[in-house]
Amino acid sequence: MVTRRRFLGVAGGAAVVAASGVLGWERLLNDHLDAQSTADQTSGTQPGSANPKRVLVIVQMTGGNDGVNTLIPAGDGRYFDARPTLGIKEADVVALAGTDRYGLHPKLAPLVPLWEQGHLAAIDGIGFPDQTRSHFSALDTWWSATPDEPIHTGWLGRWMDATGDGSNPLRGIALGGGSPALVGDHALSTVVLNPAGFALRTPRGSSGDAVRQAFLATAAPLSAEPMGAAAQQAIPATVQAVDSLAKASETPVNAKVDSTSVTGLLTTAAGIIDLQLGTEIILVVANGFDTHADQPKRHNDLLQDLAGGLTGFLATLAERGQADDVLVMTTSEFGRRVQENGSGTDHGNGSVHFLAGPMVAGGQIVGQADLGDLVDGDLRSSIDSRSLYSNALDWLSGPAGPTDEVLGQTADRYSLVRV
Amino acid sequence: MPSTATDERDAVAGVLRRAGFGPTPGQLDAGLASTLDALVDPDAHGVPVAPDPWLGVDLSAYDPTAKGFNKQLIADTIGAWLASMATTPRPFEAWMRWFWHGHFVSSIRTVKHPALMVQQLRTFGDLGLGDLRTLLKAVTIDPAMLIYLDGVTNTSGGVNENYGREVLELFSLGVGHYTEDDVRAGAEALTGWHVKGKTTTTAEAVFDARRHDDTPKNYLGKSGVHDVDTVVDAIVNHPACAPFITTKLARAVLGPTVDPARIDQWAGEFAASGLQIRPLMRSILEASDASTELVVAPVPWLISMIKASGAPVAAAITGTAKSGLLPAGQVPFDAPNVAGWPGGRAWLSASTTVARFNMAGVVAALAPADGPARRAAGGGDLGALADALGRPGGFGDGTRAALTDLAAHDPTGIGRLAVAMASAELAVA
Repeated sequence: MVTRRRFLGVAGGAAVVAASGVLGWERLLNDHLDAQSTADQTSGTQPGSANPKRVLVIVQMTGGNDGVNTLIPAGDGRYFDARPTLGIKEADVVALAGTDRYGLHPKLAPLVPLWEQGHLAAIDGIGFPDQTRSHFSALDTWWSATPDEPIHTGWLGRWMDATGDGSNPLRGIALGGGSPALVGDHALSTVVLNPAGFALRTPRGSSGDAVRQAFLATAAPLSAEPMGAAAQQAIPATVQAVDSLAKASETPVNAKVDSTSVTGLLTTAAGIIDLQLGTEIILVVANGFDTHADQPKRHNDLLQDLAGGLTGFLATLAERGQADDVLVMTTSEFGRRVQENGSGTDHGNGSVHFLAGPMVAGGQIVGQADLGDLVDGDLRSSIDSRSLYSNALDWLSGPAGPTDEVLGQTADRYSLVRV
Repeated sequence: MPSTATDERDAVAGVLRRAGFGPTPGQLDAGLASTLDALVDPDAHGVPVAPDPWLGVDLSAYDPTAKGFNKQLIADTIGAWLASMATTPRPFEAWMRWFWHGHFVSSIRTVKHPALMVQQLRTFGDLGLGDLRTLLKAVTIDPAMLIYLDGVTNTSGGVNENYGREVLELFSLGVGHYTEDDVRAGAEALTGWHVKGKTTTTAEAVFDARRHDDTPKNYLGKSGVHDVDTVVDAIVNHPACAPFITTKLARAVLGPTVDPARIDQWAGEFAASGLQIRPLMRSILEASDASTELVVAPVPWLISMIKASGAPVAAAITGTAKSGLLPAGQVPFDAPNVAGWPGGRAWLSASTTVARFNMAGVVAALAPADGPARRAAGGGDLGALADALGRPGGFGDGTRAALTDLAAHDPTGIGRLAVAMASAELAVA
């Protein structure tokens, strides 16, 4: 007899999907069928984690964020030479206390109070060694954090494998898109593309509970074929995730906010954290940063959503007394070319990332993207992304945790988070 | 080769599931050879020509001044395409068009006007089983593609590398077979194109020599490359091109693990044929003995369930396209990025699993009570139900037990039909 516990325990990594579909259609959801959402179970916290209440929230800016127009080297005239049409006017660059070399994009102005409170740090000139300009190679590397060898697990999945028994599919949650970064050998994770549509609906004229139970029952015994078995294992994990997340969706959401924007997804993330479902990693996928053309408007909108989402998220956590347990980190597969192409920027190399939250040793910029030392027109990745990841994992699982096992020995470690 | 009648029905069902949006009731009796003939070479076997999917959509209703997207028109255009997949007499040709849509990706988010997406899909329909060289030339200056991958802003005065990179990385050769200099040179050679009439139903690619860099370049080891023809010739003549395309097509049909020796053989024949796609596909479809587990993507899964259940197509598309395919992660015209939909285990995520269950409920409730699927479900004849759903070999133990237990709570059969369709085994071809 295969118990439910067992197939939860052996299901690995069946949780990757790409983001898709918005166009506002989610408003049309919930029309035809009665939503059947029950909320009858809550998962406990994980064994094995040193700090089970801590949550690492990663905002993945998919497409390659233009770091140069995010943290702007306005103190360097070469910036304005390279960006005759896309450059942010010197007068519009948002000043950051303590540096006259850098300022923020105007749409990131809401982040200034975080900077002044010491809750925001930037890491500049960051990426992987021998970075390629291919989105997909770069993303593979981002996911695995093993630039030297292809591997089927992601760095967050390996961390979950090393610190838990793999029984809670809500320990790692991706919102807005899937991420192979969460794939482990044993660890389960949950992908929710659009929190607004995440409910099981049974057809009229049938017994809802009986149909749900029958759906669950199709998951055992497991097929001998691996993919068929994985499809079965996904069923109980999914039902558990739906039941648990139904509560998170009860958090009031501003109806004008697109539930798949960074702002909308971080609102759901705050709801998940509040429910204490044993979630330790939440990955928020933001798309659209591949700004080859029409960059000014697109990048404005993206950064406005990012800044508004981040500040609202941290404010909500602070109101609930949960902010000290949460660390926010941004990522992207690469930066963009320093020289603009006229209406946008092509793929580049080094970029800038942020850490945010009260636990951050903020108000500082680590590293420096040197416009005078480009490789093929790109900023260098002089800081290895794994340095940042290791800092985040040290915070998540304590200095005695498996960071080195997950990421390999990292040459430099930064003390940007109060571990 | 199939040894029994059931084996042969299984083989027919497998081919239709993998490259024909699933069987319709009765189709499994046709035999494998004649099924393949009708699929791959319908002209020679008297199969009626499929009507254009968008005859009933008034694409001229596009309003370029509307704030945001023309959502209704986009939904109607996508809906007409999905409906045609379920009703076409030529399901393999429809499947090929769907394949190319996921390979030569363009997105409505950038293109905006659905007429340009339709124009691209018609090109896939016209050229998608011809020779790759002609297809790739058409794709390179297709209006939707020029907009999506920024060909329209690629000029001698400001070179935009977007298409120049992705055509090599994702469309033709794969990483490792070109250099950054090739990306740059290709982009330069493709400068000068823009789109005229992009808010009309008659958009066309226009070449402006003043914005074109005609300097001969070295590209993929060839000299003198300077325009669309010479760029595409250099790409399709590259030794990595035929294996790359063959591998992608073979995996799409046969599953992720295909014997490399077979790929080599097919790629060699493909190159020798002048890159003719139809005979390559015939070889791949005939190799059903080489099939491995393949997770069915949400769109082909949905279409196959509509066909198998006999649900009224328009109502089933309306009832599922918005509330099912969106959270499933596969809305046509809206791939997540230029690499298309990820596939494989991505379609086993929680979001997709929820959406599959919800779509199964919608389709089951719409299935006619006197159709073979609903009748078998209501009567508890699980063998007939599996056969109706394209699984002549029957369900696995878990599904059989679950459906048997559900009978007491499911007088209409709708619940059992829904659970059978949503089951894991129907998500894997």
